[in-house]
Amino acid sequence: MRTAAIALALATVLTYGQTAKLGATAPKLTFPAIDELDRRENFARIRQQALFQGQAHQQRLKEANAVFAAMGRLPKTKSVDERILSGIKIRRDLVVTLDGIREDRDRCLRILELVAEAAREENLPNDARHYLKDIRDTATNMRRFQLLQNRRLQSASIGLKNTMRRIPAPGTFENHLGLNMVLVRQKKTSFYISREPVPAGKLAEALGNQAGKPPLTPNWHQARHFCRWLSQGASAPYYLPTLDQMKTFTGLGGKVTRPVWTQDLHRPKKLAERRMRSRFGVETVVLFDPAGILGNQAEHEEMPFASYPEMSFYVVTPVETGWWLRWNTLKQTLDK
Amino acid sequence: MARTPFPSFALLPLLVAALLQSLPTVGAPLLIKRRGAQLRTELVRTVTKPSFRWRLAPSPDSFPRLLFEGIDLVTLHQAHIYQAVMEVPRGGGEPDGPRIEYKDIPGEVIRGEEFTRRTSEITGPLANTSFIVNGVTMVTDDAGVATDTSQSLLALFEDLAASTVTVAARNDKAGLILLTVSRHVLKRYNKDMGPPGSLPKTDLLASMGLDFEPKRSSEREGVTMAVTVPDKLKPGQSFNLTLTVTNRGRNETSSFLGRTVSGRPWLHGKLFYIGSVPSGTSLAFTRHFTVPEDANGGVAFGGMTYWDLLGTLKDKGTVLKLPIDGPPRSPAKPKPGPAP
Repeated sequence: MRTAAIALALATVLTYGQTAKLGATAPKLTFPAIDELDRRENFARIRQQALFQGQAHQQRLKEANAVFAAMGRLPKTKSVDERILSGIKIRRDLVVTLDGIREDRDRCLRILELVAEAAREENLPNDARHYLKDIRDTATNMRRFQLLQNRRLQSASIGLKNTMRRIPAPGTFENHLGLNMVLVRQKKTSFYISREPVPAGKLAEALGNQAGKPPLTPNWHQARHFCRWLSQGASAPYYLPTLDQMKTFTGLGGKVTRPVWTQDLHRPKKLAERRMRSRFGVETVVLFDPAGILGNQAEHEEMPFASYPEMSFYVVTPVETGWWLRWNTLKQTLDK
Repeated sequence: MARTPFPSFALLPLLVAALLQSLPTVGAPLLIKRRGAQLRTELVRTVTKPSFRWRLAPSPDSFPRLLFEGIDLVTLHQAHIYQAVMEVPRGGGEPDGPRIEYKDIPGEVIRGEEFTRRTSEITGPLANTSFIVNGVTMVTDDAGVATDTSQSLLALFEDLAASTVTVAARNDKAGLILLTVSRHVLKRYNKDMGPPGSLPKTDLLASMGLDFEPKRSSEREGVTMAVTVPDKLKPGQSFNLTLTVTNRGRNETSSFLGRTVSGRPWLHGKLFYIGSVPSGTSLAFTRHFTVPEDANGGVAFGGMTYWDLLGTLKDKGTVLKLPIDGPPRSPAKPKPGPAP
């Protein structure tokens, strides 16, 4: 016990003496054995990282080549479903490859930092310096190649997206409410429209069946509420059709036997009437009635709260809805 | 230089006429009859034409009243009567004096040219007389007042941009008389409108006793609107729609208006004039409608929308549901064709 106390006091004195000397002349204290150990550990880490990166690089190269090959085969696939499935697979592989490349680039950067740190060491043997230089050159080349691959894969991603977009939307689909939606092709914007008017039961479901009885004659506000409710349930936009869309639908042979609501607001032809309506803050909507049930004309102006026993409404959704629905269905199949 | 073509023989008749004129004066005294002093004016004949005048009369309800008064337009054909005088040469006398003098011709007068003078005489109210005003036949009562039961005058002002309209009233005997009627929703007394006292005679709203002067301290709090709708209607039936505005607020309303809106043209676009409703009172205005003969059975939907000096009364419109008793229209056959 006494010996240990003496040794500690001596060490304290010696340390104080060395510290005092440091402030005066600052001689460099070297521990060659410890430095050697550090250098070895650094070199071991660099070697380990470089080896791992080399293998990862080869793997990434294979993955990228596989993606490019699959993309080349994609246009030759005849079945639309198969093409979409292939597209989904390619897209997944592409995302995985891109993520891998990003990790590789980070890893290369870390290797370069380690190499730079190791190269700062003095009294390195020449062999070690050569080794570090080789590692640095290899990592730099890899980073260049990764940048190139990244760009190629990004372009491939855009190309894949365009290829998938060219896949035509399905002619019909059935949404989660069981409404059969048919595709109406137009030059500018195609759209889906329900083949039949919305059944009263579905409308009652949407309106929460507040009065205890299903409202059989929906007014415009109720029809719009139904569309909002349907959009929330389907995670896709559903609207009332415009007058032009209804005309296109009937022009292509769609049977509209009842007056139906459109989402168009009525715009009077006379400026004075428009001014008066603006002053009194009132708007009416357009009712499409090709069967002439409510009047002699196919287009009526009607109050939004009006409801007649003959009245009904259709719903429309953009063409993308059908496309995404098919995409998601196939994707779920793939996941299973 | 061009020479004017004027044949010399054209002057010959003129020369002969001048010679013949001068012949009686040669060697004979001058006896020329002249027009002397005006003695009186004689009435040659009188032409009386019946006519009328009309104006807006005070109305106790929403139906404009028109007062027709008869006028006799009298045209007096008259002529002045002058004393006849003779122009004779003056004998002797001063060398520098007049050479002729005038002498009365006893018992002889000269009648001047005819002229006309117009006067009018109000003969009083035209009772039980038929007039066509703005294409609508109206019959006056004993006091000469006709009630516009179809509100054809109000129909001329359904657009708020129109402030004055010239209306024609025609009677088979009395002819056609125009009247300019005004409708000022935001009343301002300016030079164009004349003094305030003259306004009820020409302003439609003033004649119906409605106050449309803008009120600075107007409010719409506590104002409620109610529309009286008939229980059942038939095609071809005429009916009245009454808007009653009750003010339970602290301040009066200002320039309050109602307007119908509907997809049915016969129900659409009629203005209901309320104006100022003092606090604690209510005011009603009635408009006349007619269901067309070819109207479908079922419910005719419409709305009553409101506006006052503070602007649009949004979300306060009244829903109108007019049940029409009649057969519903049979649907036309839809066009055949395959589904897309």
